[in-house]
Amino acid sequence: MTTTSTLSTVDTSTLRERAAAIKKQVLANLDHYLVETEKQVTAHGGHVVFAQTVDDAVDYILLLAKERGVEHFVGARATNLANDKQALRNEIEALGSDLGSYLAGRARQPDASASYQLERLLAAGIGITGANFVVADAGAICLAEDDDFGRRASAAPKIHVAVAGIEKIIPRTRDLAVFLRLLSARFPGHVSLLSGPRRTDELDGPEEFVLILLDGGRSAILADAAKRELLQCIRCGACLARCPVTPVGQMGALTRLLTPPHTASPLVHASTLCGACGEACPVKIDLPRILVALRHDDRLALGGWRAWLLRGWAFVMLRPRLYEFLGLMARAFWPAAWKGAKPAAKSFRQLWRGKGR
Amino acid sequence: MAKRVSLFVTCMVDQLLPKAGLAMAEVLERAGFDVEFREAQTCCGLPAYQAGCSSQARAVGSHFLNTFVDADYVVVPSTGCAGMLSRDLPHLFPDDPSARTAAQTLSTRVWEFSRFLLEVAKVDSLGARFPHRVTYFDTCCSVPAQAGPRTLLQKVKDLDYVELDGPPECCGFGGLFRWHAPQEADAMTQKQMSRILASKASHVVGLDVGCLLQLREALERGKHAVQTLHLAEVLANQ
Repeated sequence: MTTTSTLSTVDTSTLRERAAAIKKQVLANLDHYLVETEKQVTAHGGHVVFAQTVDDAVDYILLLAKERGVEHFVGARATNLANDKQALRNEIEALGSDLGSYLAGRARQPDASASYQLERLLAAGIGITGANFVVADAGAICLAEDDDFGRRASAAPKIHVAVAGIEKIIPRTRDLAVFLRLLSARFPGHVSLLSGPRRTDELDGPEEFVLILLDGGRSAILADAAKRELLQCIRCGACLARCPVTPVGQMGALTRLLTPPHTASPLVHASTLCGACGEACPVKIDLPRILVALRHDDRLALGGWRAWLLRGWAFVMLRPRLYEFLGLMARAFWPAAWKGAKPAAKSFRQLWRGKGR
Repeated sequence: MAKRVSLFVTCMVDQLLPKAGLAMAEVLERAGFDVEFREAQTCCGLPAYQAGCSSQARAVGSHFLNTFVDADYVVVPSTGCAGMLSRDLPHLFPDDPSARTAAQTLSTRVWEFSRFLLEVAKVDSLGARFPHRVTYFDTCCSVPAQAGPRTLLQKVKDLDYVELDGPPECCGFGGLFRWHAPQEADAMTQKQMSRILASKASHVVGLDVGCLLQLREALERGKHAVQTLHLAEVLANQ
């Protein structure tokens, strides 16, 4: 008997179009989807907290822990978060902001498995996870993992706190059929759709569920037409995998927009703009265009001799006769040792005139 | 009356690889076009645009606009410059509606050389002959494999076409990239050079002069006999 997966027969380009369209639609109506998410999470017995900054999220969790008398936390990435505000801060920042979501599993310590033993998790009062997607109509979060540590951290402790950037919202449960397929070359090993705390007829799950929706500079990115597309990112890492340069560097330069102080790093210049990242992106973010737009940001503009060289270059390029004269000078006085970009013996325009045109 | 085509040879072809420009003119004439060269032309503005120097890019972009505003077709031998002119030129004038409109109109008349042959001139064979083993290197800003130049190469008589192994990848040129990451640039070029050498081709053909010069320098430094050629040089050969 032959079985054919329906998913594998779907054309990826159709999926990418669909994914990009859904993301654009959510971002254009984010105010509506935030309200809808809160409504549905509440209807399922959970609680939504809006955090302006990572520090707000950290403060909320510490306050919650104090109120509930919780001493031990576990996170989906790190297990020893108790009484260490900075560790908690790093965890939240990573879960909510950078490539922490799906890639979190790969960044864990090799001995993590032991730390995620059930006893440790049960002893923890609060389990903190990220969310790959926040599903508005179900009031749920979706975790996609290769292992099941996030699932364990969400289910065993009494309180489950999920931290998600506001851009992680997708409208409907059925949209997961599009996004989960694009998240990785192979389907994630563990997919959990978690909504609200444990019901009375359920055997396990947390007693309390809190979804922290983190702004963390995202509304500012949303307001900036040149960068807005970045919020379509589903943190799949395809751009990193395809980049021929130093992928973590430049694409990291973009994701740094999502962490304080919300400015890209000078690494945006360290790209050849070859376009591989944009081609690879499953939600069709025009990454090379955004890299160029960021280079035009005053804070990242070229400085020093490079800026002066480009000013000089423009001065020459606006004056065809000066341009030609300098070309002649370069030919006449080119040091023999400089082989790389040695000018040709005659320029095109000299040769063209020589042909009697 | 034959249609008129304006060459924009780009500053790099003008100064560093003029034979690619001459070959392009020859092929276009053979395809039945009147070819003109406007002496006021210099650069498209790409270096400043990519470096984030808006005002310099705008100034040089305006110069291009003024030089070619009444051209019917502007044909460009470099994918990088063609991309700048057909895609990004209007973005240089966010606050100047009349310049932006003019740039939008002109940008639709700018053609990269191989696309012009296939889509406007609608010729894929011009009687070229090139009895060598040739490979094609997918050049700048065009990571998905380019079908057009392969079609054109495979129509060339006696040409033994060989494909490079693996997916297309950047050569490491990238304008001012070397300023920011010289070691990475070298590593990328070496990697692409290995792919080219593995193909055992005697000639590697490309459509962006930046990439071709980057590869040529690495091949010469490594004392390899492989020649770099612009597609027009192969098509002009008879």
